[in-house]
Amino acid sequence: MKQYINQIFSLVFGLAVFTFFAFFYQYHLYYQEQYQLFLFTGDYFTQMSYHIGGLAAYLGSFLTQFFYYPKLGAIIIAILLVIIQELILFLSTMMKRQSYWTLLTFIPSIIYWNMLCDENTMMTGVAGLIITLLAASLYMLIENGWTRMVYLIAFAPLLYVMVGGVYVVFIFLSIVIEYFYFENASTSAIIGTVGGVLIAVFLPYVCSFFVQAPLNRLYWGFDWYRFPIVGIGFYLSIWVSVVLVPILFVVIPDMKKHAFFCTTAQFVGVVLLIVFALYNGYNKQKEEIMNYDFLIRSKQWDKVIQKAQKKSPNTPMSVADLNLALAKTGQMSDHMFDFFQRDPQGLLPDFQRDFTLPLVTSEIYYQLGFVNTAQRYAFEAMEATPDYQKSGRVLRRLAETNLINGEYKVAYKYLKILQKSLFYRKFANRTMALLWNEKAINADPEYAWLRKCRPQKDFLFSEAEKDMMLGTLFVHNRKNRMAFEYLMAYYLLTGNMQQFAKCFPLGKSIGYDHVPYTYQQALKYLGKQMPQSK
Amino acid sequence: MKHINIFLFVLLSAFVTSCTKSVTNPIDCNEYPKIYPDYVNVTIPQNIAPLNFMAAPSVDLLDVVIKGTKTTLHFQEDQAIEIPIKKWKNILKENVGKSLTVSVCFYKNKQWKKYKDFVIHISGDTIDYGLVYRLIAPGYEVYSKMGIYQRNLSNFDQTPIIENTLVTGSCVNCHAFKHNNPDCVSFHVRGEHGATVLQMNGPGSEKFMDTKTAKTISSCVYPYWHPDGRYIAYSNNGTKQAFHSVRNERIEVVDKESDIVVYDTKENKLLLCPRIMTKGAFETFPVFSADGKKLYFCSAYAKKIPDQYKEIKYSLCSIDFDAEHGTFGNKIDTLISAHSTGKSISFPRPSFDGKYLMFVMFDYGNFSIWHREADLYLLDLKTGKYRAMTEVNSNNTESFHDWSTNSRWFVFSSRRDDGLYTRLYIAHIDANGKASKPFMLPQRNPMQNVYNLFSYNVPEFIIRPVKINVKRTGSKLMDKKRDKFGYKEVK
Repeated sequence: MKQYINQIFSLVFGLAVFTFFAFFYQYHLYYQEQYQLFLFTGDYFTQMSYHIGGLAAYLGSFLTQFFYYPKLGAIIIAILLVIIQELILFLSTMMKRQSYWTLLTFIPSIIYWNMLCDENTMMTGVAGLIITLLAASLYMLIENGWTRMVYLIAFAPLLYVMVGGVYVVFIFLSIVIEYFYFENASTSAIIGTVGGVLIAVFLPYVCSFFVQAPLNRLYWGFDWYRFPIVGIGFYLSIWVSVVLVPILFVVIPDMKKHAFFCTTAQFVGVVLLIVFALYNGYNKQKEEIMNYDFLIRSKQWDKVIQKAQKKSPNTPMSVADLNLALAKTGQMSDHMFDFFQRDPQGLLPDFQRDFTLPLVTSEIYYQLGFVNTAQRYAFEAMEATPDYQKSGRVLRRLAETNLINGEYKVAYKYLKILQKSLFYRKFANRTMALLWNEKAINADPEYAWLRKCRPQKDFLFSEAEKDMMLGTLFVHNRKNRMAFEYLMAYYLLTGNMQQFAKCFPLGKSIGYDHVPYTYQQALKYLGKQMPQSK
Repeated sequence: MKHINIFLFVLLSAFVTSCTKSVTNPIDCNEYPKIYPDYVNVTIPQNIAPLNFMAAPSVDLLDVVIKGTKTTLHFQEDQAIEIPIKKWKNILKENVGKSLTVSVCFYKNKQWKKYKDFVIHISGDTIDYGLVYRLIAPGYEVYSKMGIYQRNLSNFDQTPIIENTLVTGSCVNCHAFKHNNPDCVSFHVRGEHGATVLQMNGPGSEKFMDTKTAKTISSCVYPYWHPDGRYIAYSNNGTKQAFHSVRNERIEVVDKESDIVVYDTKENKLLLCPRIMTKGAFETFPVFSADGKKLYFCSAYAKKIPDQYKEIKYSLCSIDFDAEHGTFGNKIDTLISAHSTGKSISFPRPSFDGKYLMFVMFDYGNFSIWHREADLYLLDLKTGKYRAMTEVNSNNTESFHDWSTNSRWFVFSSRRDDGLYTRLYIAHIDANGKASKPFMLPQRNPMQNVYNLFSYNVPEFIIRPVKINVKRTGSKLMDKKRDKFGYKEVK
């Protein structure tokens, strides 16, 4: 039992990580997946790996695609964090076989766990760190001092190209291994150390003459975080801990006499660190918003409403999601005010140069029948993605909008791309069969309906005149109940009761079997305020 | 040793032949093969990269024989043929002024089909070293990764000149060269660290300019170099974008106001002439004539934006320009009036031999790039007559174009491939102004055109590679220090 204690700890740790991401943070994984698109093509590999840190980015993207199924994603994250811990354990125990400080090796993985709670932390870093630790492990296995020196100096630049700035961890670990493990202070060690430090300091600078990137990014790396600008603490917390743990292994004195106390204290410390990491990292509100977005994306309208009934949403995004679900289930006109309503921003949010909100708004415009606007918002969301990735979710939507609009060649392009992905392939193959096939498209309930709803008479989109646009849309197809209800909701939320009263009779064509409850209330109010309008 | 060589040769031959399937009992089809890109009966320069192509739609095998006067090349592939550059160069060299005959057979459903042979004519007119273009997704307001790139036309090498990764959040656009000479470059970087980068004497001579002055309505855009290199014509545009609602329209780019200015690089001053900066008209897209004595531009009566955006129609105009004194003529000539055509003109580009002026004509507005009906037209500057270039136009957008240095080739962007993503096409034009069938810019893998989510923007020929000091450019852009344009009002 005692000899397997480390493996048991690793297993428990892995299970804890899996449980967290699979059951408490699954929508974060969905969120991650939708902002990238891994393609099984040579071009994609070339395009991804043709920059500093490209291999790590490619592997990160490869791993992230599996987040399409969050439980699979959770397994992957758990395994990778355990691999990081095991590699650090390997390096540390090689340096000092008998140590009572093995639980320290969990620290970098716990820090990474905390970082992965941030939806903008990319898997590139995890992949890059593992490659770096493997490279350092290989260094440790080389017996000959001169061979190690050559390996360090020759491989460090290559590693830099593969994983980016984290290559300095390899250099520093190699130096630590040289002096603490091999206890070598010969000429080869000195040359290796000096050479390694020079490479660490100057290689990114030299690259800045050829690579189109700011110098600080060449030093710290790319694609670890979705946004290009991130505090250096993000990198240092991981990098320093990875180098420090093996050093601590060697320098902290053994506590053989107090082994039980030592292990217990570490265990408590590790548990407390995990608690702190999750307390600090877990973001319930974002998980809620992402949950709403997932339900909308997968058209689970009833689940959206059920969720809101338990706790009314209050952010513009989730309120907009709820209103869409109410409209799609025919409940908007009766029950919209059963829930917290913000203002028209919770109905049709204004455009923002952002990669999240326009995606939600695109869903609403799409369901309404504003196909061009839905296309624009989706396209803009993809273009606004800060790490320049393309989005599987968006390309799918763009294929649909172009299909509805009869732009088959563009739809074909997007579908050809999606066919090269793992999880969008099925959709692409199915939809490919619809291209240039009017009969098949018109037999599809969603596409056929949206073709009937989309505007036929051109007007320019105007954010300030959403009511005019909704009115035009409804007048074009008086069976478009959603357009009518959004129009009425817009007037109610803006307090434009006169327009509400004016447009109310238009609802006749919808064929309501009763006057919707919300409209009854509004009419009652109008009756009190303006008796002549009765 | 000799026996070993023979044995190896036989083994290799056996291996090669075992990999190809012989074309047996093909069905004869009396039509040209459907290939992508369409290279059937095109005219190409002798220094162009291999015209790799594939079957469209895909087949199980394609068998291609390219026959020249001396050499014959044979390829059999399941996807696309990839012609080795060295063999391609040799066969082109052997057949300058003549034609290659291309025989294509497709194998599908266990049956070969033989198509009508087509030719690829190799012109004796050479083409410039390469092209410079911007790659950007055909988006709306937001942009992702983009850059200005150069492509060697005799192979597939594409290298960045400047990418927006150099300065986070920036946008790069409006590159221009003095008569295809990359020593004189002008391009813009937009955003927090924005500047107009001017390089007048090769790498190291870059200047980082702020082109907005108190007397102009905006920063300078749409540059065009005067042939002597001293002046650059720009326009100042107050631009707005709007978005259509119907299926076959997408974006409308309109100017709320616009003027034309000329920058004197020697005096560091914008020359402001009231005749091309009028309140009642929008002036834009300035270009100098080949001899530098005229400035061509587009002009439309100002209308209320956005209400009357469909009524804005640009005419093609010109004004004399005296390069020695930096002065303008007293009158504006209307070469093609929007009133007579009922249409709008954009992107005038004179050929460097001074004979022609190519432009885009479309239904209304300023920005032909988003107009499907936009086509290329050719104006004979001697006779004043113009015609639609039906040899090269398609039923989709034809837009920005540029002439090769010898004025025998032109490149243009077109959305004909899929209706959205612009691709580049090159066509030969003979001494009588007759253009040949255009061919799409060759790619190593033709499918790259499908998988590529960028549009090709503003293609410009260059006679040799552009050299920009990346590190210096990045540092200078980041430090935000800019030299300001001065201005001088001229009569």
